Amino acid sequence: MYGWIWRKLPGGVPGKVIGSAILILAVVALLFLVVFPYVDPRLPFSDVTVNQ
Amino acid sequence: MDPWDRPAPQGRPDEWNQGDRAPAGGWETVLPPVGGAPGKPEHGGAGVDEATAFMSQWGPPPLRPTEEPAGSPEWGRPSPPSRAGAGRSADNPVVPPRGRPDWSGPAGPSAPLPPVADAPPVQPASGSRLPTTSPAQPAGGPRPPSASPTGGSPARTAPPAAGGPGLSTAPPAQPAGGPGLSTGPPAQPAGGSQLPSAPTEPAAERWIADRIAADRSAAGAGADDDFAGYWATDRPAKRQTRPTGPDDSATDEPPNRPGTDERFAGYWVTDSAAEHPPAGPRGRARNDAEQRFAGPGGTAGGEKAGGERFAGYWARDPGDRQRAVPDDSTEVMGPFDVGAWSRDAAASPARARGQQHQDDGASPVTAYPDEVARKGGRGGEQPPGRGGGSGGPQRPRRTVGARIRTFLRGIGQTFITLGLVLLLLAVYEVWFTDLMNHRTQKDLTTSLQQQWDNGDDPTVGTAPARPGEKVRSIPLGDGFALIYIPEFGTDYVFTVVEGTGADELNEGPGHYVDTPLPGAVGNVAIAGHRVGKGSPFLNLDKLKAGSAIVIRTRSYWYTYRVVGDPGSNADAVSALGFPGREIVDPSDVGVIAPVPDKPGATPTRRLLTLTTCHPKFTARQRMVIHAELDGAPFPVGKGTPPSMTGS
Repeated sequence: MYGWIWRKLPGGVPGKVIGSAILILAVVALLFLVVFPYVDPRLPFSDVTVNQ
Repeated sequence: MDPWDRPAPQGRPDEWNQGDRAPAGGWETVLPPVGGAPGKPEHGGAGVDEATAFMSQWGPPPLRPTEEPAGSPEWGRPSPPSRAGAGRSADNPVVPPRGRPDWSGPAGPSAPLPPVADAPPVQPASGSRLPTTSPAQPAGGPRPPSASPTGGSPARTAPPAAGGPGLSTAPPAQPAGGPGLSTGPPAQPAGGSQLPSAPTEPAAERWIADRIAADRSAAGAGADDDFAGYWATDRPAKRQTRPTGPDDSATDEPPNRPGTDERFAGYWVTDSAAEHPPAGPRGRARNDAEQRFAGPGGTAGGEKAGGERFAGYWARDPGDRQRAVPDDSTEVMGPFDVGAWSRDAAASPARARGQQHQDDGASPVTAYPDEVARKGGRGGEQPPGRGGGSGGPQRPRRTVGARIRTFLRGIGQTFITLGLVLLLLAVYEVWFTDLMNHRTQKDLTTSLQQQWDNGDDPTVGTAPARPGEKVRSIPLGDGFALIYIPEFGTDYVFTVVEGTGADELNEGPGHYVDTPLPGAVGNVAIAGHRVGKGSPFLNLDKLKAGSAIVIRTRSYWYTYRVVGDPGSNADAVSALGFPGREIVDPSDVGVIAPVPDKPGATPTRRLLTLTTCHPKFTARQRMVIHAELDGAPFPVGKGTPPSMTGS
């Protein structure tokens, strides 16, 4: 998968490096701003209240 | 390192020609007649190439050193002159006329051209020598020449079969050579036949180089298919091919191209479409090479494999082509190649570059008709790979083992990816949410302060009808008070928001909506995260009996103290009937009842209860802190209460 992405990235090595960095940042941003906030309340370690 | 690597012989037909001419004069002896064919420096070129190759490998080329010194410092360039030299060298090893530094290209290309003129002579020489030098070379040598001759003409495509297309062109060249060469010129053109004879001293050199290459290749092949390509780059394949098989004459060039690797072909291909075209030729070459080499030596097979894999790789680089060319040129194929290359050039710029060299040098790599045909087959495979478009070729070859490896690699990458995601999740929970909460808290505090400045106190509303009764409805998520815990530092302050839902708790400590507001009789309950989201209650377990928990509203400071005898264990049950700190199940809502642990009892005290998760990072239990209001509310107008200073 990673190899495939690397091969698909254009611009030679510099372009690939830049493209990779952009992709990584995009993925991390997606995780931090969308995926994790959505998953977090559903995880078992964020419950701090007492209730029935 | 390798002479092959040298891009030198970039397509400079002009130079080449000149070189040829010049040498021609000088080489007349050797090359006399042939001169006619510019494109066919083959032999000379070949010789040069070999020499260069040899040198590259061993450092100073044995023969050429002597020769070239005179000619020029640039060994790398097997310029036409060199070819001439080669031709001469054939006669006289030392002679190599390197006159032309111009020939950046390894002798190969340049060599080819000069050779054209020279070639003939060279061949002759080689022919004579061939016998002496080595049979194998002859084969290789002969072919190149034939090819080279043709190269000029459309022949390129016409390969070895050459005989045909190449022949016409070749004949001329060879004729020249022919004269020089004892062996029948025609024969050479036809196929490798002449070549064998052609091998001159250069041939000998080549032999050495070839053998070295062969060894390398063999080693590479033996080592691993994957690396075969790696070694192939050294171009052992070509060399090997020559030595190995007479047949090589036809295949000589092909071997080089074959050198490329299929695996990587695709990889590189993506980089440049141009490569595709080359790929085709190479592919052909490969095929040829394979076929040819199969016989010659086990190494050949290995090389082939390697070659194929990396073929694409090299194809990319013009240099590769050049390299290939040189080999070919050396082989005598030069002329033919020229044509082929030209065609390729047309096909793609990239090739054009490489071709230029070749053309100039009368690249031997010319695509023979046969090769072309083969190309069709391989072209489909490798070319595509190079092109990037065609992964097909590679795939076909994939073995079961390769597929299994790919599968396992995929699984491995999946797990690695999952691991990274989980790691990021931990970072998110512990660091990123704190970061975000800090901003949220800042906004909440600012908003609350503005509200206070405007004279609005969210906690003041309808007077409670009964103690503990909620007096006013505060919008969920709105801040209404500040909570301080002096023991945690003067900078410990959070804005308490209304509500204990996930969203509210992400903003800060949340007030259970069904509990009274600060200062009221009853049990004010506040929940907060222990890890992440600002971690407001991270260290609640550090509180001791008597520790102050201060809550400030618009008008008052309320100082609560953890129940129990000051300094004693907060876990001990106090006189009030409940401990200052207790660990309970998540479902134990009794802890936030108006009278803790006594649901339904009528409250008479003003209490504060904090809840958070326990142990850290889990939600298995809840840690609860009970505190009771200490003294009367402290008016904000009087400054800060003593409790805020740690007393």
